Amino acid sequence: MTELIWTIAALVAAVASVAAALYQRRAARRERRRADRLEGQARDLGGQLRAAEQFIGHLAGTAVPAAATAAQHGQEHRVELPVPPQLVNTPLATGLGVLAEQLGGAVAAVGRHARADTEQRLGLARQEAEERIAAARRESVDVARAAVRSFASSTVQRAAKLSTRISAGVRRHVSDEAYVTLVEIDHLAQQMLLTASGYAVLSGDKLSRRWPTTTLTDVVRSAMGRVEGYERVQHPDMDTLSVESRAVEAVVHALAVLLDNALRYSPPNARVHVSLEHGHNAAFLIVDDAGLRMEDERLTWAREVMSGVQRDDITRLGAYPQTGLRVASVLAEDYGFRVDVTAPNIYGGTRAVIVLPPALLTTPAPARPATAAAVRAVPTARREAPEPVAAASTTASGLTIRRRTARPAPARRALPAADAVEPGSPGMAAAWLAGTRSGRENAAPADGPKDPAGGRADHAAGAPPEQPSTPRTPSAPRMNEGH
Amino acid sequence: MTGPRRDPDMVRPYVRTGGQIRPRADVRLESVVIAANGPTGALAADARLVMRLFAPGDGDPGGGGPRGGGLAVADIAAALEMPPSTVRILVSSLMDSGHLTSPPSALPDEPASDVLQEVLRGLRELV
Repeated sequence: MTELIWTIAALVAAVASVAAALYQRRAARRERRRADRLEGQARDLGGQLRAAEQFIGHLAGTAVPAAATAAQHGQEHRVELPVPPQLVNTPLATGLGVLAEQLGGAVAAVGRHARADTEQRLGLARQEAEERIAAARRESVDVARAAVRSFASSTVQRAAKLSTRISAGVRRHVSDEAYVTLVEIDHLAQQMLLTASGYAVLSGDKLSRRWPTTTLTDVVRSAMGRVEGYERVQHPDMDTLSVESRAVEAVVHALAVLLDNALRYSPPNARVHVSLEHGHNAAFLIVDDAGLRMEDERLTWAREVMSGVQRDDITRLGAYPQTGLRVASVLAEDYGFRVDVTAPNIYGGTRAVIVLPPALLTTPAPARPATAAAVRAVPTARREAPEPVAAASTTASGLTIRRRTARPAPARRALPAADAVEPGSPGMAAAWLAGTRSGRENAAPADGPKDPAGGRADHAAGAPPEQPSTPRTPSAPRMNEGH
Repeated sequence: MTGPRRDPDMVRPYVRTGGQIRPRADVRLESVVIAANGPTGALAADARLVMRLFAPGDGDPGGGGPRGGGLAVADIAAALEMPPSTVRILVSSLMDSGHLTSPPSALPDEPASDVLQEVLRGLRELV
């Protein structure tokens, strides 16, 4: 029994130990599996950590500087980073993605701000610079204007004085050579005057020369005297209209400029035609040249100048002809007329028109006959006096003359009073001098000298009651009146 | 020639003479010219002024024709208030164009001294 008990006990013990061993083995296997799993997890985490480190390193070292550079240059730059495969689907990945995006946004915002700031400052600086430039420009224009003005006005003054002197000289000197020289100088002086007064007008001065109310014929001829090549200008008589005194010089100047342009831009042998058209409510003074038609570009430019869009900047003047058109337009505006240029005209050239409103015009109806009568007074007076008497006494050459003069003389004397005592004009005196000299020189040859006088008297006797030298005598006092 | 007064120097002499600057040699200040039966075509403004001096007056009683009388160049200059040299050229042109002519029998200007003496005496009488 005891043995059985021992046996049973031993059996139980063996079973128990086997069971324990089995249990042990299973536990050990389970432990190893867990250790393996933990090790794998640790490896994954390590990988993720390295990936995150690299990601952040890349973000800081490359992506952000790139975004900053881009922002500096004003470009939109989106920070885009590929999420490393180790981090896919992890919260870390999401977090890192947001971080990258926000960082990019922040960098871009800073860049934008900086840029806006810079631009604003730049804008201010530019504005300030422009203001300064404008001020400097105004100042320089003012300075230039003042300089041109003083130069031009002093030139105008002197040239005007010169032209007065020349006029006096032309009257005083009767020699042909003196006349030729004076007239050449005069023509140059007139052109100089035109140029100078043009600049004076552009620099803000008024025209300084004043004329009485003048017929359009004389306006045209006065303008012709101021340009080169006036011989080529053709014009009809335009005595039906006169320009009011206050606008004469302006119209003459504007017309001279247009004539100058026409003459410059047409062939040297082509004529320039001036004509007059009576419009409904204005008169049109037209200048036609047969030159090259003005190109569209130049025409546009001319119109712009005429319309006043670009003309009063003294520092932006072109060559002289261009100055001329500007002057014409300034004058037109100041004095209330209009200047226009069109092309082509009937000659294929350019047509320039001065439009004169009625306010600047008068009709010289009474003036014309009156002057004509006044001028004719000389021969009329002469003819009146002695007709029958002269016819009777013409036989005596010298005597006739004297008697005729004697008769009207008292009547005439009554009018001009003591003035008549004054010597005649220099021209007249010179004429007399020349006459008496040649008379004295030829006095010697016997009766020869008498003949010319006698011959003339004969002629006078034969023909109507006119005596040769008579005109001279009564006209002497008249000359005094005239001067 | 308009209005109360005009400026005779407004139109320059070379324009008046159409660019001619020398007169004929035989046209002198004291030369007397008469109107001819020449053409009466279109004349320039100043030439017309000169010719008008030779026209018969409106209310002239017995006034002869247009060729009524002669005028000295100096007279024309005085009447038109123009420089004498300019008028010499104008007259020269008018003679060339046949509007004016010398009196038929007039010889070159050689006034006898006694004639001039007489005229001078006449002038003094006037004064």
